[in-house]
Amino acid sequence: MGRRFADLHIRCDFGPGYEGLRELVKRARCLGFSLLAVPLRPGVAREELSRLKAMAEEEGIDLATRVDLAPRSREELLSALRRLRRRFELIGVLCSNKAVARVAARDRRVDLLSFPLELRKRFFDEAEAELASGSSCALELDMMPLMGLRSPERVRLLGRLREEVALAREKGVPIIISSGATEPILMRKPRELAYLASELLDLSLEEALDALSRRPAEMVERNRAKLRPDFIAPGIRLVRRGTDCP
Amino acid sequence: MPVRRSRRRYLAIYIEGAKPGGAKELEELIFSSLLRLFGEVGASKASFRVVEYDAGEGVAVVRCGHKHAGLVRAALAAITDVGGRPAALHVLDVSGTLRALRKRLPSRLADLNAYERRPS
Repeated sequence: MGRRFADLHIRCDFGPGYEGLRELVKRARCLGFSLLAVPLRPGVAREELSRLKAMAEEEGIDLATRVDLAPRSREELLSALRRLRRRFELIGVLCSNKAVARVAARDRRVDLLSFPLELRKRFFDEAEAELASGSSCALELDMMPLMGLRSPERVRLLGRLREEVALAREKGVPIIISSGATEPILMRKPRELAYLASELLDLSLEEALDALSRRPAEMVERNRAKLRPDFIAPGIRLVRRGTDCP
Repeated sequence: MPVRRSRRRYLAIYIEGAKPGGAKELEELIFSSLLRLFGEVGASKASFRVVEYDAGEGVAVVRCGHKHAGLVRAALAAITDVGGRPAALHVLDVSGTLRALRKRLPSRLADLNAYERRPS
């Protein structure tokens, strides 16, 4: 069976009622994706989430609900996680300072760690990788925003990203490759994204393909299992309710 | 002893959005992306050429060395505009021979969804 590709970070503006999402979902299908996640507003109603998922399913795409957090402090992050963890299948945290980065890497409720493009704000160092490897969060790398950077800045950032990839590999932190597209035309076919990541970030092609298929699928599947009403703890689920239990 | 010709890869690509006016312009576009990402050494390893280009349809066939096809595919994915207007280059098919690629190209073009061929 072939790979099921995923793009977990499409950052287009879909309008207040997510009117543009259907076109984007169709486009993603054409490009060869089968799992998609777009950051939604934290306050979006549960009915709206169900409607969006059903709409994507009509087009043959599995839509994972995702929220992106950009907290300024540890307290802000923890409060948002308490409010939102049970509502969304994926939680991404943009770590803009070291305190937030450390808490996010340690917290099992965080799925995806991402960092700003500015070099001095990339806190994925050895300590961060160590913390992330102990929890279940992954390092998310958006490919298309890199293409918008000017040469000296991009050269330095690519060097830094290669170091982060090597660290993540060494510490066993999963890497997720996303497009990070802000416009539909910036979306690329999964294999093209894989080649881009493989050539620019020193990933093997197999690793890059996994970062676009197996890793995101496993993450979404694990979180969906956790959100089911019968989930108690990892490896423990409620099989049957009854009054005759000893 | 005769030197065996290096193996090649032929890539069929579809250009979405703004299209280059001709094959030379397309070649320069891809070459500058290769140069920007991989430098002169990388660009020379790719041994890249535009074989044919239909500007009306926005479909092209490009040739490159088989060991470095990844460089060309990465360079194609990195192109986001043509002369400042948004564009995307998608690989439709890859083949080791031009004949096989030409044979498969009509069915690949037919597979292209109406949305992809006529983006809104």
